[in-house]
Amino acid sequence: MIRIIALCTLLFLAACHNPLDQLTPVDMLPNYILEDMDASVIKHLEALTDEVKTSQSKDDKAHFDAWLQLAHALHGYELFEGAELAYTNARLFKQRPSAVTYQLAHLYRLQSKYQLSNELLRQVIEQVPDYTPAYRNLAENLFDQGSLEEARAVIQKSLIIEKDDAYGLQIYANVLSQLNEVDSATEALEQALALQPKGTKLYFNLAQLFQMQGQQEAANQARAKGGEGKLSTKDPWLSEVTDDLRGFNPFIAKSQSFLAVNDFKSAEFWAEKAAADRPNSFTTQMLLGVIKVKLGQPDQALPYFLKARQQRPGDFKVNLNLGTTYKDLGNYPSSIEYYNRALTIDGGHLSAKLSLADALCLSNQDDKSMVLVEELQQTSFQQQALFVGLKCQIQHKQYHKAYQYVQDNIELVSNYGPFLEYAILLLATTPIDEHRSGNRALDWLEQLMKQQPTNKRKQLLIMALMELNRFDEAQKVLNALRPTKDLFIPKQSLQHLLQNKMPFRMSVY
Amino acid sequence: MLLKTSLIAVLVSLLAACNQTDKTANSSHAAAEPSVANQQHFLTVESDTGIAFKHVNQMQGDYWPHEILGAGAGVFDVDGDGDLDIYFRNGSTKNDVQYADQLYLNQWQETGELRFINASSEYGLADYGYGMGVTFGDIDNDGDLDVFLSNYGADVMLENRQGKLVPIAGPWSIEQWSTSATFVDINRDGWLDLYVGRYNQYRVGEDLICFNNKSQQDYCSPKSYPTEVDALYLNQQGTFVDISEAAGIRSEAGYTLGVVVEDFNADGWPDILTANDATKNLLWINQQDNSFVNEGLQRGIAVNGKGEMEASMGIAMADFDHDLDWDFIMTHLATESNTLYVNNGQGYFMDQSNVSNMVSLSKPYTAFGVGWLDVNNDLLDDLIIINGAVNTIRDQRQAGDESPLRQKQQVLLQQANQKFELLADDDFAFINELMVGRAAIFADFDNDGDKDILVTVNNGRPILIKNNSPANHWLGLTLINQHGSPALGASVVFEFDDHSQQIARFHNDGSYLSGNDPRIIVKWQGKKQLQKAIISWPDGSQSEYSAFNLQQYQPVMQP
Repeated sequence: MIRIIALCTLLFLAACHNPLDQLTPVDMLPNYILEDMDASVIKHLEALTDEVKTSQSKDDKAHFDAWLQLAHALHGYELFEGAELAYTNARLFKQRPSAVTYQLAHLYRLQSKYQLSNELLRQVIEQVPDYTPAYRNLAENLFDQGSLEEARAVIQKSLIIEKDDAYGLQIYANVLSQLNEVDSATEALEQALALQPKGTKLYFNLAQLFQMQGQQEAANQARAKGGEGKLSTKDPWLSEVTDDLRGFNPFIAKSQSFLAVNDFKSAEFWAEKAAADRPNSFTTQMLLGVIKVKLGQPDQALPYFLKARQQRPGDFKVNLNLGTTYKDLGNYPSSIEYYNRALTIDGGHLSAKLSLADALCLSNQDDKSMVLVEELQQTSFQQQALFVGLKCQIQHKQYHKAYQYVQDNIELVSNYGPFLEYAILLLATTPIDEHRSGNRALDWLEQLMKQQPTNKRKQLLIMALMELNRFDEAQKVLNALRPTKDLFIPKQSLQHLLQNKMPFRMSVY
Repeated sequence: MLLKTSLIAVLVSLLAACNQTDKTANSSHAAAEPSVANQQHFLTVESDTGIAFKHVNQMQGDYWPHEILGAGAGVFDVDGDGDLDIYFRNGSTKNDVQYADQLYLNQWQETGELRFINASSEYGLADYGYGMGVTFGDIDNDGDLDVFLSNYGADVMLENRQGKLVPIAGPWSIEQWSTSATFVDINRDGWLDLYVGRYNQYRVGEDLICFNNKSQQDYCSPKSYPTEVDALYLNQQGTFVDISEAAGIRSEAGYTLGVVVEDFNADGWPDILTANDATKNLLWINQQDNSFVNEGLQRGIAVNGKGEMEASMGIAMADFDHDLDWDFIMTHLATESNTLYVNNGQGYFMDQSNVSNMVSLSKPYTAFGVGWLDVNNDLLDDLIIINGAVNTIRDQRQAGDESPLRQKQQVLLQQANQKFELLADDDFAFINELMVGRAAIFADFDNDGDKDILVTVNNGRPILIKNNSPANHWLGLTLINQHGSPALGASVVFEFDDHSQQIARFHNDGSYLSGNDPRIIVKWQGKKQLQKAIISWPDGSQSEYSAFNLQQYQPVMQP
């Protein structure tokens, strides 16, 4: 709460004493940190805000950088009001004014505030007359607004500066086609295609032009040609969030922003563009590796991580990623090797230790795995460690040992957590001997229920009862179950299983 | 929380005090944004309709993909009294009758007032599953309309048996996620076949957890789950057979949300156009042998003019530019634009969104239901666009809104130069209505010669908007086939004594999850006279008609 107040006060003061109010006035307090944001986002923003505070006592450059970083983060999270305020304050310092103005213009564009966006883009053009992305953005804005003549003038200027700009030519062609200047539009598109022969979208533009001229067959052919390429959704070119006005970084930033929203294909597209620009970049290799993993292609991720490691063998993350990728591929010896290398670099990294424990278990080195698990049980990772340990024993069908293991750690049951509850669920649905372990899990669950009858525990109880074919009792618990969002299986699905008397069973194999 | 709120209040007031100049500057920004049209219109929201229905999406905090996409509604004259009644879909789960679909009877003919009464039990409505859309067609050629319900889950067909709607089994009774559907006589045999759009392969219990760019859990993109193929059921004299595979429909898949049927290549056979979310739109060209080939790409509708696939939701057709061919608009996600596809007269389309101002007007909103309607009596087709987000809007979530997807609505007025302008907020309060708008059903509920609008709201109450356009010269036609059923799929060319022409189509498809009023309304002004109507019937035959009784609806029987 203290941090929250500090942030508000800081932003408030900045707004009050802002001599640039006339540039971009602020009359609303950003409340982005006051409500239900994800903890990691809040932490990120708080850190950046702290940096703004501490940089006040430093030089202008540091203070400017801090504001700009905060602005970029807010921009990336689409917290528009906060971002606007932060950019406005960054502009106070008159450092890299074109970069800040360009970003603010984009922020307005995202909100469809075309006039404001245009005004700022014109300022950027004044400051950096050869910066063609500003021209292209401005032309696109004007095109979207239907101001075709203005759009034409702007994109023409851009093409004088950068003649061989396929994207600029495409915008120019679109403008010309809407102005019914079909021949010139066709010429521009043909130039663009010469520069970018695989430009899928260009073929569709061309098809429209052929159609306007009544050349239906040519239009069909152009569309067919376009259809051979990779079709995509909206062009995210305008959404770049970066302080680097040119080149490689916008692609990386774009890719990362798509990665953050789980749009892995788009993330891949932009990462590949970055790779084309700087094929040997460590960042690009790491990014492509992560994207491949997210796409469920660990085999394809591996070469990227290996290449990245060639450049930075002492990097903790690349070794960790290699450990995880090899584990995904079932190559446990290599996985253990790279986890160990990562831990050589950062021996206190709990998550790496946990992953190593898991890999050791998977490679049948249970004893070594359990040593790590026991070590981790003394840390803040105790729940995760217990889970990995239990999973390991169940995987190797050491059911009695698993039962004893839980029994030995029963005091942890009172510190209920998702991992332990999941572990109980695994045990509840796993045969130990001739009797199902469901009875034992049931006992534990009943103990847990006495302490605190949470919805999730009720759901576990239902599953254990179903496993023991005690459907009537399960139905009673289900009837009392609140259909809240913390259920890991929706109430409706449980009802369906119960109605059909289908025992719930979760396999760990 | 109280402390936080107090802090915000204090700081906001401090800011306001220290920053007096800001407000002026800010309002000038607002004024600098594109101006809006300030034109007359004839729309009013009806508040006292007797409709108590409220859609319930059963959301439980699990971010089920289907909970934000429904639900639709449709109109048909179930009691045969000459006015249109309403069938509402609801998000019912099994054994949950209180959240089932509802049927409301229109009392216009009886009382002269636009009021509705709930007749769900009278007509035997039961729990028909988690509802998406509804459409109507006479599947057994007995002269009354039967009802098809598309569901998240098994679809349902209700046969209209003299006042009772009775579920009948068929190939639709399988667990799928269906969206918009439409009846179409694909082989011109006089029996209505059925095309059903399907979304994706998501099933409850197989949920992925997705996050927005603020790391908050949010609704997944459709692309998180595999696409599903649409279905085509052939009506063999009252018995339906799934011919999707043989008809070629299974050769392409997308996340289908909208469906319309028209003869796009002018060969006299109906083709099928689907609006697909985040995948290519499909245009199934009828091969005249119970099979179809997708020509969406070459005909310019698979992607927009920039070659981008868009998140297509709703679709509505009209000859908006009066050049005697069918153009259409598709509605899309915020940051994309709604896209206006203009027909070149040969069934090939151009994206005219930029020149028509559609891009700048539609980018901020996620649009679903859509329809063409002349709202200001200038005889130009305007657009009603129903909006509602699909990813949570942070401010609304923070304010504790249980449906934080609310957006403003839009009415776009067509100008003489075929550009569109926004109807001003203060000219029609409905536009400022923040809601999770979904379907828009276009129907003349009071039989006065202009179509009214029924808007459905996800997890909310529907809104009925009455169109009070002053009487022009108008004629309404209900086209009846040889079985005594509505001749869905028929089209008409109207010829006037000044040699001008208008085209119209008799169908209830389009918009989003909707069953619309199929009746044709032709309007004109001045001294010119309507001379004849040339009707193309679904079986390929043509007839002429000229015995007009103006200012009313009249049935025209197929010879």
